[in-house]
Amino acid sequence: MDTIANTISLPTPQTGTATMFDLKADDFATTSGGSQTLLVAAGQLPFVVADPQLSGSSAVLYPQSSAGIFNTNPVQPLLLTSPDGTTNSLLCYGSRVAVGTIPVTDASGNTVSKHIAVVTGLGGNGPSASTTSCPAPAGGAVLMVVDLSQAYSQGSPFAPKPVGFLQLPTSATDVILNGTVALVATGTNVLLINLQNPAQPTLAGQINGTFGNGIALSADGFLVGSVNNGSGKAVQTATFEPVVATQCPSPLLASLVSGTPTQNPVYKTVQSVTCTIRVVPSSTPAASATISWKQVDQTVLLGMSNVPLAGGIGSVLLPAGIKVAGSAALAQSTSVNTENNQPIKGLAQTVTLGTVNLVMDFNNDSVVDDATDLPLKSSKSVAFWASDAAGKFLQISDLADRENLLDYVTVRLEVAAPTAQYQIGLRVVGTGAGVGRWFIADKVGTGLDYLQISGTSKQQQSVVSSGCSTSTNQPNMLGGECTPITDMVSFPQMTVGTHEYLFRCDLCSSGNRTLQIVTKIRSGTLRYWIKRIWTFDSFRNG
Amino acid sequence: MSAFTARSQTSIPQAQLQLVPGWTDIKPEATSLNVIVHGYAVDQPNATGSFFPAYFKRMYWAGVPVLPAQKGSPQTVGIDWQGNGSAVNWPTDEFSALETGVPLAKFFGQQAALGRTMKVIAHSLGNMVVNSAISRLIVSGTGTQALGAITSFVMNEPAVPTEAFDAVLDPTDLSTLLVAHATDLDGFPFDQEWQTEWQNMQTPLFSANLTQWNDTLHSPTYITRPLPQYPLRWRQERPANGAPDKDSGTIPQRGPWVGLFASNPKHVNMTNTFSSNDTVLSVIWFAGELAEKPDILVGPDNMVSQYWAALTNTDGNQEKLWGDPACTVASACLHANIVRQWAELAYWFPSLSDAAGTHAINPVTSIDFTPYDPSLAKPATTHSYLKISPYSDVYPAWQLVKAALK
Repeated sequence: MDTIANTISLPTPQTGTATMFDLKADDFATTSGGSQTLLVAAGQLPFVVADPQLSGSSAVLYPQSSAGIFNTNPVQPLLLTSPDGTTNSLLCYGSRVAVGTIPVTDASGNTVSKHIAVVTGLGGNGPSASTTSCPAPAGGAVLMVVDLSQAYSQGSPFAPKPVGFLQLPTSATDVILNGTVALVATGTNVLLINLQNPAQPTLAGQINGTFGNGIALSADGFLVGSVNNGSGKAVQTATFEPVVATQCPSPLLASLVSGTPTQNPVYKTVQSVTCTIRVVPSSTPAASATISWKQVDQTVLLGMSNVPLAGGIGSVLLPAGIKVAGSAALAQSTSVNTENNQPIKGLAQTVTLGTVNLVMDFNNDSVVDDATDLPLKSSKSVAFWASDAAGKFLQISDLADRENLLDYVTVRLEVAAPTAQYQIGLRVVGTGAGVGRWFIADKVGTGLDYLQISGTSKQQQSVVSSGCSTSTNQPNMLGGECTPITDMVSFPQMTVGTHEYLFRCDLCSSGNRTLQIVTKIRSGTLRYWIKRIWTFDSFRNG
Repeated sequence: MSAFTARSQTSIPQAQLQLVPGWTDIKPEATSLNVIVHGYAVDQPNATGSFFPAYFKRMYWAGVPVLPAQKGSPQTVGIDWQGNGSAVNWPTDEFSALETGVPLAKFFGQQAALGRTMKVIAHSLGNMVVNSAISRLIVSGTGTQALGAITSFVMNEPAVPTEAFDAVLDPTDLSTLLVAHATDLDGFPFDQEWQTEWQNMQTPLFSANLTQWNDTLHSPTYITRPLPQYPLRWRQERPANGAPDKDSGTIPQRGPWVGLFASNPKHVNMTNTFSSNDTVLSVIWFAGELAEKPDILVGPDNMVSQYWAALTNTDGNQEKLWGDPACTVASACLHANIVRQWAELAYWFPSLSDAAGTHAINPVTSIDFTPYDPSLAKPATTHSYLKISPYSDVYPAWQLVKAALK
């Protein structure tokens, strides 16, 4: 459980406590030659540096307070005076801050590292004589670069040094560092601020798009933004260099060859799939690509070279039957820039392998329970009875309404990868006395609602009284109660998730049955991959 | 599931429960049993095709293990008995229920000897069957193992007089109407009517009746011993510890319902699930206890004709109930005494109290199922709501049954 270890208050005489909008932590060099984590914040106090190891007003290293009180009217700005002394630039209000170390060239021409902060907010600039306090004249959106490279000595004030200032064309909603470039989110486009000379940050361009208010960099260097602007929710990405992206269907339908989904699983793909290879940007000259299919431990399972690219795009058909140890595989392609003969970086796609698990009441406690009825492969028997039609034949009329619902048992399909219409089906294989006539129907409600809640029970009765009616408009739904025409009931298009059905076997003799999930392979024959043993008890007439 | 029956070709139950043809026997590996006993007016097709399946399935969905694959490796057994022998004469079936207790007691003993524990649930008059069996195990003195093997017994709407569970009948339990009826018409408990008849038979005017009475009891075809003693009809009392299975005493040992099953709750964990809405018990059973006595209205049991002596339930075939050959000589009819006690109990002693299935009874744990009994709102399902009502309407009641069966 998380606990609050320290609270650093920023009391103000006007509003009680200063409101801060962004907070970052970073390691700062210390006078003893080591480092210590300090906090940097932006907000109503435009720039704050604090030591989380200290408490009370002494924890705030910058700005200085007056008897522990931080004045916000007027607020103490970050102030940068131009080298010629004629112009002052002010940051009066901070919105977002990024902290990092960038390479810079010193006066001697050497490349050195500089610890900086880039803070965005509201401010302005003007003649140094008249521009000394907030609000700044002709204020607007600004960015300020702050030098944090001075060594910190605990208990001593820390004076961040503004070194660069830039007026922004629009308000910033986020800022992150990527090398010597500050990426500034604006809600739509992302501004690119060149920090090669921290004293002279410049607007180097922008990435057009709808990146939203918050942005981040992925581990492989992609810029990622998300937006929910009322017209839709979207994620937008951008790359800063040509890459080769591979897109395979994920999650990908597979059978569990050994292990369990949570313990040492080994999967085998059940169908061939088409993967798309895309060079981004598409204008990058590339003629062909090489794709590889690897396990997470980098064991190469399959490789295909010379995949032709047209307009930067190619495709490849991966065959079924690829065995993968683990619950995911990596698909990655590479290519070569034909103009400069330089390799184009390939992005690895993590392809999740998912199967369709069949879960039943394996512990025979009359309920399908997440905790006890784990999808174990072919190792558990489910005991139940054949639906007893004795009442019909003996013309017994005192059976309760909806008594037939007691003859159904829940079959849960845990679909970890989407399946197409009729791609998978259910089959019952019998021994000895034969299979019997069996049915599977849509289940209404959850758990045992169909037995225990009157309204749900009546709805369920209506469903099982309806014939089989699958359609493309109703994924996961059988439309009523189905019985195999030949030897299997095909499922409609299945979405990822948990779907439950009710199963019964009508007048089946006692004995073992095997319930199978099957899929059609290209030849049209059936392949099963999940089996459940089903033992019908000798409820009546052995 | 297995189904056993006590039915025979006659009105007398078989001495041993028999497997119903077409049903499988109890699996040897079974270590525990659920025993289901149906109630009144259930023929065998209905028992095996409707009652047992419904109870079996509802118990399963309530979470009671009923299949060998479930916790405790249980097996479920239905007990079928002749509870529909007479459509109009209720005491005949009540007597049949009492008699079926004999083979059921044997069944309990056999299963206990195999190391099996048993959970029992009975409906309506089926509770007379089970209580009779338990009382036989207690009286015999040899049923300790079997009694210990019955871990729980749920009585649903028991069609058993409440007074049967009271060692001393509480007058506050008495129905005013019942007392008035019995006192006024039958002489109970003051036997005035029978004493008058007996005294009349001593007079010359009715001496022919006395001769006929004696001739009947001593005829070659009347083999039950000891003979009924007409003047003691209402005065004989059951021994405090119950009548033994074999009693050669000269005085028939019989008596009212009071305390007949009073010892049962001391030996078995019993639960009474009752409904004060049960119109079957409060109206039909009520009337049956009184009005279907054979001497009422045009009944022939009087100083002129002895209906009792003509009943098939008193002949020598009763001996078969205990596995003995049918007695053909009076001295061999060792069970006649107790058989007649039961028969007379059912025929001649109307209950003075309500049925136990209509209210809580002491000292049995009682659970009020009235909310699940629709009563007059649904006459077809009152009394039998656990089976006939849609499961969704009564599943909370089945949850309580599950708890009681633990």
